[in-house]
Amino acid sequence: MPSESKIQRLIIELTKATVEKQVEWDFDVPPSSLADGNYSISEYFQAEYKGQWIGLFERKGRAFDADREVYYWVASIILVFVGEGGRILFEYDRESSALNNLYRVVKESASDIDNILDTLLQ
Amino acid sequence: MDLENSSKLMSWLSLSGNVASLVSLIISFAVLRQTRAIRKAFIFRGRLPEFISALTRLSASLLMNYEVKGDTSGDLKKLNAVLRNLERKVESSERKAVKQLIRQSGRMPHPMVFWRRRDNVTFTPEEVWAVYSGTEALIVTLRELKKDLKWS
Repeated sequence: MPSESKIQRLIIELTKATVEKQVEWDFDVPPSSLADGNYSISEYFQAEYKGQWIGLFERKGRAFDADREVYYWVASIILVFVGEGGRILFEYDRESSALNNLYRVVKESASDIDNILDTLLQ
Repeated sequence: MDLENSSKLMSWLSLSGNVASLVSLIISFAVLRQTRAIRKAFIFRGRLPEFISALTRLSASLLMNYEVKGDTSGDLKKLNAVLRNLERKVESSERKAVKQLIRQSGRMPHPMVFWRRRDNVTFTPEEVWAVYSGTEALIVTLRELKKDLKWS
């Protein structure tokens, strides 16, 4: 398990590279190994950074609270390293504000929202 | 002879009374110090979730304004104010990181290089990224601290 500080550093680096348009994210089909009947992946983004494929997505699903005996919705942002044939080499799913910020920046970058707005306002 | 004995007894009693007063004064100070430490820890524990949420909000706003407007001065000022408040409440192990972030976000030189004042200069992108990175690292530290405090 890599150290928390290394992952945080990578997340900040990816955020910076995305904002400065040094890395290009695209909507993609999530690797089949990420499929899980209990959760759904609404949008999956993938980019190549320094020769490594990196995936980023939001996983939504229902979880059961045994104490109160109720189902509730959960959503979390997940960062994965993708290897040959869509194999997941590493998955980071801890709650992190840096990861939430990266997800927002990536979503805007992949959808090219600036370009859409410029076209609409012409 | 009796008078001499009673005079000796009186001086012993007086001395032991003085010593007892001194000891109780020391104990009073120790108790006062402990009470202040407990109060500080209690306030910090109570306000920790508030600090985490304020830093999370400001960090997201800093990034968004940097991206959209390129102007982060408003966010940096707010961040600096939150950090100054936090500085007085954190333990010495976290205080160093908070102090460094205060210097970075408030554009203050290190105390040892006080002659290098650079007021009224806009923040470079590298400086903004350093503040953003430091804030996110501090959020992680405070979150871990919050988890530890549940068990103490």
